[in-house]
Amino acid sequence: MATRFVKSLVNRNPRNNELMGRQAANIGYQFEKDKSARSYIYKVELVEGKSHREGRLVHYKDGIVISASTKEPSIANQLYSKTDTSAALNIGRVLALRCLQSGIHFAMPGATKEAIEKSQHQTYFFKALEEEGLTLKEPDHIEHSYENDKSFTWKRFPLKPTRQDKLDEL
Amino acid sequence: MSAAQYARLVPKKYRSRTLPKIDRPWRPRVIAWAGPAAFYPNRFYEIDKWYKARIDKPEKLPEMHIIDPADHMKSLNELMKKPEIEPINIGFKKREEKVKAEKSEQDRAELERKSRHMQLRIDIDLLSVENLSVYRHFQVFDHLFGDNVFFENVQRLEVNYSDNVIHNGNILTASSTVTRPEVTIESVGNGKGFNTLFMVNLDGNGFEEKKNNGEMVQWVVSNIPDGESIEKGTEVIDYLQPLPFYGTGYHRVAFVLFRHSQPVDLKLDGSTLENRIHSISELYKSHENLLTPSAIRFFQTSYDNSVKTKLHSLGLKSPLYDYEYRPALKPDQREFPEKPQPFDLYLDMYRDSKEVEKEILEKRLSEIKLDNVEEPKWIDPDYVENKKKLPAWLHAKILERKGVGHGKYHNDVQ
Repeated sequence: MATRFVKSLVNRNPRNNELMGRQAANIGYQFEKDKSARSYIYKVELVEGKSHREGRLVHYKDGIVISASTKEPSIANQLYSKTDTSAALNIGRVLALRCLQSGIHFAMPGATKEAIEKSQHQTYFFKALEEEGLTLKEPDHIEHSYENDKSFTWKRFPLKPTRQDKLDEL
Repeated sequence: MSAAQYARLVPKKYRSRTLPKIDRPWRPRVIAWAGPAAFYPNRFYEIDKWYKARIDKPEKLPEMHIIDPADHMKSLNELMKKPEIEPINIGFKKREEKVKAEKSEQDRAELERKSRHMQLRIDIDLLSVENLSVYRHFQVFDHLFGDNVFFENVQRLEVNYSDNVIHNGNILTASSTVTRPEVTIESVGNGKGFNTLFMVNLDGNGFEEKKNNGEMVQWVVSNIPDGESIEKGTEVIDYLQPLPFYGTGYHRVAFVLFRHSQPVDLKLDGSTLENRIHSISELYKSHENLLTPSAIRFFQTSYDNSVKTKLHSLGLKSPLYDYEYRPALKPDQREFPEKPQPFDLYLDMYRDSKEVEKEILEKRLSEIKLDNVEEPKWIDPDYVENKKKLPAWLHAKILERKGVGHGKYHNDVQ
């Protein structure tokens, strides 16, 4: 019998939509002060503990996916101190490499610009990530539109509030 | 002030003493003004009189959704968390890492100097941490062996396609996987025991006959004696490059290594593409007593021309898939929508998409011949005239180049 391909193939890869740029990042909660802090698919952060430095890659749904920490003996015994700036830098290098080895090339920084500038550890950590090849920015997702779906022949329009809706603001 | 109140304040006046102290009759005045309905026992009887009677229309409020904080002791994060079940290890015990001896005084001084000048760079190649959470993140174990199962990487397995080393999930182009990879397997049994290597495309099952019934097995080499090269094993299924079909995105391709003490006879058929579909979990179940998984690596790959070339050489056509979006959400159409809407866009939303497509195509064909479709240089040469004469929504439709109007000149035939 001739080979027949299925009409609709389901790709079970849970990361496929993210890789293809179809997955939209969260936009955060409406009344949250810093909404953009939740707007990521992956983010990298440095946890500055009392006696350790830990770099993490966090997924918006699955939580911590990859981590590199001075708690690992193979990292710790190559370092002078587990808490100094060069520890943070090296954790950044290791984390970036592990991310790239897992096919993750984009991640948002998990700290604000001010917080990064303020702390030397954070500065060196994020610099090391970028030097190793991780991009600290995520590309925008592709909107669902007529371009990629021929049945979408109408245009989205914003529904603006009427005077009645905004009475209490007047 | 009523007459009675006035009389109390001014007692000496004769007129106020003699006149009867009664309130001014207000009811007839209200009736004259608002009509008799104002005093009907049921005030809502005559609806037309609402306004005149100055009685507020009862506002119909939706029932309040009351959130009592006492009922919600858990945070959102805690609520959203999946219940954790302890996963089952189907492999070997985790290998203990060798801990290096204490650093000498000289080493420490050197490290300190480097560290102080920010020149300390640790050797990343020395680190060998197997990060299983990545495999969980990509659901590799789930789709290979079933839910809630894992195993540790206890044997070093190196797979590389010339320069491209397989780690856990890195992305390779399909053209780099055309020829079989070099595989190095660490010897762990001092010459005793065997290894069996599977290469499986977890997302490559696209055949009607075996729909949702297994994974695409790309390569199986069994009974590789411990410490020997992979050529010493028997090739049960010969190598076929992964075939991520056009439009299906990134497929996960896993290399799984099994350990066994006795040689196994895997009766696997890989003569045609369809016969390569095997359920790994069932296969593992049937050989559970003999095989134990010891190492895993995987990469991701997507379509390029080499896939088409391979399929053509097998005498097949390359299937084209297109991502099927969930239909965009839109409210039900109503004759009188609750809020004012832009009428043209609102009505467009509910038109049959095929009809719109047809209209676009007809317009395009009426304007130009199909073989020299070209976007005009100016969208609207009569801009000033049109701006004055046409209604705004109609003019906007002419000016529109993106969105649906885009199709007029860029209607790719697929």
